[in-house]
Amino acid sequence: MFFLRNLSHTINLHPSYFGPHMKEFLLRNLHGDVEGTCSGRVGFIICVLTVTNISPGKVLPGSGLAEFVVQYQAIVFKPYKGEVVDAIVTSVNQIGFFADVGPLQVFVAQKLMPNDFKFDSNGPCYRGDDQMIEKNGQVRLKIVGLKYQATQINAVGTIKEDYLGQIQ
Amino acid sequence: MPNNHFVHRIPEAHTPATIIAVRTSRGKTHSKGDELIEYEYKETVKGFVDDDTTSEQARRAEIRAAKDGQVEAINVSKGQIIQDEATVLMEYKGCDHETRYTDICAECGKTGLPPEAQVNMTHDATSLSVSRSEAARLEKATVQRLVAEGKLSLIVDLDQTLIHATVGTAIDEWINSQGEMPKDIKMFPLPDSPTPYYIKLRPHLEIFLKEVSRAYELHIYTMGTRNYAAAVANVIDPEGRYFSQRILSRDENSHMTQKSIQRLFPCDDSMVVVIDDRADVWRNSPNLVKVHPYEYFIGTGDINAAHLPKQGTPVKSDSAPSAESAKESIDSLETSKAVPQSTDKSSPDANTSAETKPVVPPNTDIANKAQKPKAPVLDDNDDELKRVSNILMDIHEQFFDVMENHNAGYTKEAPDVKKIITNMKRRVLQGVHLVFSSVIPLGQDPQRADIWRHAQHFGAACSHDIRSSVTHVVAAKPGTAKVNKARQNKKIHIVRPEWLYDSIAKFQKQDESKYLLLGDAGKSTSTATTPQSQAEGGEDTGLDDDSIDDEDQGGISEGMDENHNPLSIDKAVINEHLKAMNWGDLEKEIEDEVGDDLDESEFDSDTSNAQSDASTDGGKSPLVKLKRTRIPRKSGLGTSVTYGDGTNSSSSSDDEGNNHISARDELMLDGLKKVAEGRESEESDGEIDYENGSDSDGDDGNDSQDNGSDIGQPARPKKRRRLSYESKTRGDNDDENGAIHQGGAEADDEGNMDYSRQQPEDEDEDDDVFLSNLENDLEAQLNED
Repeated sequence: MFFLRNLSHTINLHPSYFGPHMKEFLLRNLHGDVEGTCSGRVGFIICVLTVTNISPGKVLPGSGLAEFVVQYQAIVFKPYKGEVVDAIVTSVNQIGFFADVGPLQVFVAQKLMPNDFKFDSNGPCYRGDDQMIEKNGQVRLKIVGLKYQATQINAVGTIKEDYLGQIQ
Repeated sequence: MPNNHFVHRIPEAHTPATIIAVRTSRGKTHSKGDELIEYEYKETVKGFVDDDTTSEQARRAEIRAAKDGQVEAINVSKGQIIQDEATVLMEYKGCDHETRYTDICAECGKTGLPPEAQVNMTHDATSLSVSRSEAARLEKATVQRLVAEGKLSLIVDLDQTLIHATVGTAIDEWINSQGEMPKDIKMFPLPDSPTPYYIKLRPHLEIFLKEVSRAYELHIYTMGTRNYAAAVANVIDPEGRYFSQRILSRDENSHMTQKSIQRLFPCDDSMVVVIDDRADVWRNSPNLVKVHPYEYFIGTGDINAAHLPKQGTPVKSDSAPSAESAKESIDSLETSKAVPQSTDKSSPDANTSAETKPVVPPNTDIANKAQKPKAPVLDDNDDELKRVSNILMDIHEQFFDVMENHNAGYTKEAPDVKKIITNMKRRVLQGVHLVFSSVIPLGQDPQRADIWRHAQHFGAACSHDIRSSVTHVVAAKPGTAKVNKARQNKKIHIVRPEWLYDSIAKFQKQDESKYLLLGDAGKSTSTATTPQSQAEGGEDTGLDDDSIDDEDQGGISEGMDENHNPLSIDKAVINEHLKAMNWGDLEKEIEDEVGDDLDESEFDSDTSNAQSDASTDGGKSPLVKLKRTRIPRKSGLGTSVTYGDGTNSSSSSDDEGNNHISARDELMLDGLKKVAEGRESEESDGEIDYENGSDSDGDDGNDSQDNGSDIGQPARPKKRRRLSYESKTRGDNDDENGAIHQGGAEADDEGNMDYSRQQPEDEDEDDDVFLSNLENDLEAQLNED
């Protein structure tokens, strides 16, 4: 699910950047540092929308770097158990298939596919009565298990329910 | 799964019951022991106040999860009263967490699973694991599918098996200078390298893949990175017809230096064949069909084998030694690569490799410059893949034959490629009885040497010493005691190690006559320059040759300079025999053998004289006797052409007395050599001995070394030592003669000249003095005669 969240990020700025363009540097640093990252707590930070506050810089004793705390608002993607998402199949093997939901990789085991799905090593793909799941195909799946780790999120999904499976 | 399906009801004793709480919901996962539903029931208690009264008391109970699993359905709600036990409260599905993605169960979604005995079995995802039983089930499905398709599984290696890859600025420049990309060389960039990778497809690769894929499902298993493997697969199989996604790379391999069939086929490897150029990474798996390493970009070796242990044994040694020699052949100045010995190597070696590996780069300008390291060498007459393809087809055919018989009930034996391959190997050298001579490094237990074990795997019997049953002597160099002994038995083939290597590599016993050990000058490497070996196939011989060199390095660690010194090599051999023999055996052996074709008394007096003379610092007479017998052979040393003919005639005609004498003499020396130490410094001592006819031995510091072996026999060592040297020089001649015997025309005057030419280079001054003295003496003797 996507959220708009208020987050903060601490930037240590090198003295060579002190000056009239300091704010630009800070913003550039912020975008570079946080966009595309993942943490188990907030999920995937997709995009920084607005910067709400930049604290006054505090020069750190010893190094000369200035520390800024930047408050910002960002779109984050945090998957939840039971969530239904659209995904693109990245690889298929005899145990199941992997699919990408944007930055999130979801594994769907064969046991969580409809019973008529059979593995076909030529392809490789899974063939159902009226569906086929192969690499680069699109699927709709439901997340049934999630593991939030410090820097990554792993998920397992199912397509063994109504309205899940290949997206035509 | 029936055993995992739980239907929860209220036990009969507890009805009627009231549901107090439903602590779960549909689809929720639970761990074993979790409380699912709580209910209340009434229990009648007797004699609470007195025996006649009963009272009803409310009790609570709960339904708990029998194992990890998931709620499938809930049919009750809070407050509901359940009247009978037939009512199903809920359905619950247990889960054994057989498939896991990291630590999440891929079936029920439960997280935080403990790491258990799970196995990886997908090519590209290490985070995905399954339980053993699930793996077995999946594999069974695979086997059924493959049998239905009439296929087996084939795991192929990339580097030096299907392709040869290289990377670097040198090759980049060369390719750019070509104008257009040479045939069958493909290029692709990889993010981890500033210069693109170039790969040369092994000849016949396309046909190989096409044919083999009809009988096998192909898997790539490489020590390269994922990117590399994918890029190469994209080149050799752009449409993904053969390999599809069945690619396993270093990134997914759990081990840095080993490959394992169990990584892909955890339970059943009876239908899996492996082809690879290295047997060691597979721990010599019985499923492995070893292929000869393919090397196109000379000097590159296997670019993905840097982290693997260097291959130290001849059968497996490919990339490293060949890289070494190749580099010499092109440019010995290039030292940036990690082959430090290369510049120390003698020039004959370099010439050898140059001849066996035709150094003919596509562009001769580049070749002539020779400053270009790694200039590609057109060594493209490789038909290894054809051969491997035939072997694979053979295995496939046999497998399904056995399976047919098995299914029809004719045989109980289930088909298994391991057995088939093992049997195929065993048939190759069936009935062959081998003895190795100077092939296995000294410090090593011969029975544990790779070559020994390989020979046994291929059906040969191996023994330490020449016996009556021995059929082949595999010798890296002529002049060893075993070779000399074997020469006396015409039935014994004396062959170079290449014979064994090629037989093993080709799964076919090779014609011995192409691999006869040549007697010239004791140069194992020089044998490769003969027309025979060249005709036999450049690459093979070249590599095997290198292997021998490699071996020598292992056997004699004193330094590279000694490598081409026949004396030092002989020393190694002598030491080897010294271990194996004792003096008593030797004497007995001499007597036994000599008794056949000699006047025994004469000989006995000879030896006893010799011994007593030596021990009493006696005169020359025994020596003269010994020398005289030696004369016909000695003349073959080759500085004097005159005697060369004499050698031929005398040795080829068995009835002549000369030959008998020399045979006996040879034998005796042979034995003596086994006892003696071949130290050069002592040889010079021996020379003085010989010259003066006096015993001045034992003063040298080096003598301390042979004392150990000669304790209790004070007189003998000197004599033997002296003789041992001669036997060495003679040994070479013997081999010449032997070669002549066996019909080879190689041991001609040229060979002799070779030897004499090299003598001054290779040996100490002492040796030269000694040799010249020896020759003078001999000529004097001859003249007397």
